[in-house]
Amino acid sequence: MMLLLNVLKEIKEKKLQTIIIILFLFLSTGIYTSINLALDVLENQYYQYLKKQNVEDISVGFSSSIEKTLKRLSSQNHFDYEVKLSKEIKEKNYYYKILPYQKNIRINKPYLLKGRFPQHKDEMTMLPQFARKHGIQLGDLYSIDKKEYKVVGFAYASDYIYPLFHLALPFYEEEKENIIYVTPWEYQMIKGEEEISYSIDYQEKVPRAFAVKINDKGEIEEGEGSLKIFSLKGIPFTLNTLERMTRIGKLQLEFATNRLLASFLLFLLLFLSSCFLFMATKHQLQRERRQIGILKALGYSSSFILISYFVYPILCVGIGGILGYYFGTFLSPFLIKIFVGSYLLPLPSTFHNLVYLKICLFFPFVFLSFSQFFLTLFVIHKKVIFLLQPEKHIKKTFSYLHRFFSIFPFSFRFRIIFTIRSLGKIGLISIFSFLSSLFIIFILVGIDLFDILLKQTFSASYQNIVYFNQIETKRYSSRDDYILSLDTTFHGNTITVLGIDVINHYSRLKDDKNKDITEKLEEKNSIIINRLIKQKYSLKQGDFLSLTIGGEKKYYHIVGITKDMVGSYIYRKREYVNEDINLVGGYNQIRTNDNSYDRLNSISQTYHICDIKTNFKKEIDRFRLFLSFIMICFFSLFFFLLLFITNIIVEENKKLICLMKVFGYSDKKIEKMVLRIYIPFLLISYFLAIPCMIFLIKKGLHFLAQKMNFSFLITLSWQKILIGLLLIFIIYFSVLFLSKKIFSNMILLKGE
Amino acid sequence: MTLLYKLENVSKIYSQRKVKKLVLNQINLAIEKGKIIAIVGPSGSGKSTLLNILAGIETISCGYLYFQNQLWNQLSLKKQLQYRRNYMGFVFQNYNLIPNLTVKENIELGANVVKKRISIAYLLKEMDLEIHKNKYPYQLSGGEQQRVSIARACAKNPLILFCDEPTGSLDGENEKRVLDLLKKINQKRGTTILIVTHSIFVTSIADIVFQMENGKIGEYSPFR
Ligand SMILES: Nc1ncnc2c1ncn2[C@@H]1O[C@H](COP(=O)(O)OP(=O)(O)OP(=O)(O)O)[C@@H](O)[C@H]1O
Ligand SMILES: [Mg+2]
Repeated sequence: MMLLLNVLKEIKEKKLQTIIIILFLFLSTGIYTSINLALDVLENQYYQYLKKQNVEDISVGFSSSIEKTLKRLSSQNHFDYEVKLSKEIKEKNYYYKILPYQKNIRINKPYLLKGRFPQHKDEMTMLPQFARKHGIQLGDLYSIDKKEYKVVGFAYASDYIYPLFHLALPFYEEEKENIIYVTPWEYQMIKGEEEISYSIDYQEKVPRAFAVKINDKGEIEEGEGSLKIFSLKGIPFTLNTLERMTRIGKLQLEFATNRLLASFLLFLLLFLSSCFLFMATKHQLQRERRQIGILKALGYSSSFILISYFVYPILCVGIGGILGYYFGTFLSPFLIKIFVGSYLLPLPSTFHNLVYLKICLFFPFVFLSFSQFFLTLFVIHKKVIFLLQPEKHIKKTFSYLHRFFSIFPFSFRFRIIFTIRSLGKIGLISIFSFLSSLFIIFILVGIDLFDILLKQTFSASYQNIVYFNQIETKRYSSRDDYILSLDTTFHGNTITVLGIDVINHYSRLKDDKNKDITEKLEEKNSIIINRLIKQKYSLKQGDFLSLTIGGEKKYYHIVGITKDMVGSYIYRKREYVNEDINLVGGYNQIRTNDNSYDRLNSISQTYHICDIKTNFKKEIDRFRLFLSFIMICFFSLFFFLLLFITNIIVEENKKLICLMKVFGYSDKKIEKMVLRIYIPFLLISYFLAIPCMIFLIKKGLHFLAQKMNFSFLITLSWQKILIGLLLIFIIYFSVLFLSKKIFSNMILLKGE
Repeated sequence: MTLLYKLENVSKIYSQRKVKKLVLNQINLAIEKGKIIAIVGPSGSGKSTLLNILAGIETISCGYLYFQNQLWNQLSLKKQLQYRRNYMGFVFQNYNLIPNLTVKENIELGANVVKKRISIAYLLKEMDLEIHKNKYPYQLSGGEQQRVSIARACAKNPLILFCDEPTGSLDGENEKRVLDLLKKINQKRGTTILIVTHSIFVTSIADIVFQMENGKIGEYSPFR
């Protein structure tokens, strides 16, 4: 009882400090629980979905010769395969993926959310997201390809968990992209670019590797034995790795990174709260050392005194942890919605997981009591007589420092003394301002990453890219660029070889310094690669690449690197690419400003550059939102940390501050002398953070380049550096302002 | 002869949780420049309160307090602070030295607040503290600490020196030394010194002695 009263008194005295400690515990456990719970549920849902819908393990490009081999191998190697048809059409800026619906689909079973699947002609299902954006209800009519269909259901295609239609439009836009199931008969009637592939599903469990890795010889390196079938010579195949990975596996990437983030935040915040508690306790013990001495002198046992110092952290952990757990549980459904936001995965129903309550209480308790225990033990085990004497603050080394600095003016020296005396606090502030600076730099770099990407990639002045079904030779206009595009595999990934003319209008190849390097392609074996390939495979100018363009494997000389950053492209003179496949003047793409190509029968698709740009812009907005969220979080943490530490400093130096006030020092002067000692440390940690973060971003983007279809260019101007610095100082000075409020309200030290 | 302070019907009421306590009861008082004034009286009679009011760190409840013929309450807070900074020095019973600053630095802390200050070296010599200048407060005796405290208060050469029980924790020997020092300062620089005390010794150096009783002030009569 006495203990509890004592603690309540303590909490009342240290109101702000207690609130901040509990807040940090609450946030750390809340964030941890919400993210992990959401991910648990989601991950569970995701794998269930893959299993229930029997989603493909591998997707293989179609060729007639592979069919027989697949049949022969399927029984030997225990896998199932199914041919997959899809058509893609584009109407009025909308992109539709048309799939035939049959009852007996074995692999990639569609998932019905509402209504039913199409049974008769003139019926279709579509994505609920698209329907919502356009106000379409079940039973409404919707027309595609000049024909009206009745919407009878909302359904997902299970192999389009992330609806990637085309690598040129890498981000999902709900209001533009739609996946539609119709009856097979209707499917036949619809005109559009048809894509045929084989979906392969292993009966035994396949490790859900992110992508299948293939070495130079075209052999699969990773995966179980059954996957080795593809290394058999003589089967021409292409694996649709990148696309499959994006469509089905992209969500997995988020699981891993978000869990990492949750644990990082949990331990960071716990570390901070235990630092806070450490400081608060240290200060408290300093004040109460006599009291401890008296209690010991009166015959109280050390353990009794020790326990009394544990009530406070237990109370904090209890309140913070339980609140955090419930807050996290409450928050996780919203988080799931955010995570699933751009994916086509049915929403799971949430559940509680009491494991997290245990984690919420256990880790904080371990963290907090650890510091508390040793600190208290350290004081309690001192001799009674020692405790009853006033504390000798000064260590021997400090007195030399006092002498050393005695040549400087007093206020400077005074600040130095205070700096040295609070090294621990300054260390913490430095660490955290370093972390915050890292984030600021990350945000400053990140804020226009995509803008630069767009600028670098789409600087040419053409508006449309026209794709043809086959290789054509007929020239329509001399004002357009004719391009021959062939896919090839390199290290198991699909890359595109673009044959371009050296004399062209829209396809000038420019390097980072904006120098035109197109002419270098004149040389027979020369190729130019783009930034993504360079980053992905760590290549450089002058390297030789062995590639199979049209049957024969040859070595090609890299003579330049272009600045464009979207897609894996290798450029070569069109004439030579044609030679490789024994053709003359062939092309299958046109870059143009002319819109009249749409009428041609032989074209499969036209992409407008502005569509691609808006597609990226959507992602830019989402990314910016994410960045601002992170920024706000970190800044508020930084703010509370500074507030806590200045509060402790004010508390510790209460006597000094009061005395200085009595002597006639103004509040401003006191603030300058006692609190404004961190500025150099803030500056140092900020400028240290710049190179560190740039290094980290480079590493991170290098990693991302392996997984994604675009690379980034990092820039950081001095204006941005100044803005970042300004942000830190705004926080710092707002904290100082608040602290000044605290001590200007302090009662003056009376005569005693 | 200039008047430093004039108090007309000054009262101070502390109210704590509805209980009101009259600590100073209609005090009328005039304090002249350059004098040593001692205030004696039983514990709880309001001596410290009066001192704090004169020093401007405590407000009055009613009445008029003039400092150098200006009504104190009408001065802006900034002006009050400025007066305190430039004219007033403080010496406390428990010294209130800053434990992590050396003797010299403690004195500098007092000096640094104003532009026109007495040289630290001179003060150290005057107060006989030269050999202690690089020591920390905990390495000094009580008497030495109090001398540091006086040096700190005098460093800005104040007009008035407020001393609340300056010798309260000292033995006879040390008390005498501190009082001699105060007397010396008064004579050399004309500093007005206000001392609150229990000690008979102190009254011996004072020019005027006031007696406080239940919030009332009157002339001191040693034989009461
Ligand atoms: N802040 C305060 N709030 C309420 N009452 C107070 C306050 N400060 C002082 N008092 C009361 O005012 C009265 C006078 O206090 P003061 O400190 O002036 O006495 P004193 O004469 O200096 O006594 P001593 O010789 O013991 O120092 C005391 O009864 C005290 O309880
Ligand atoms: Mg008193």
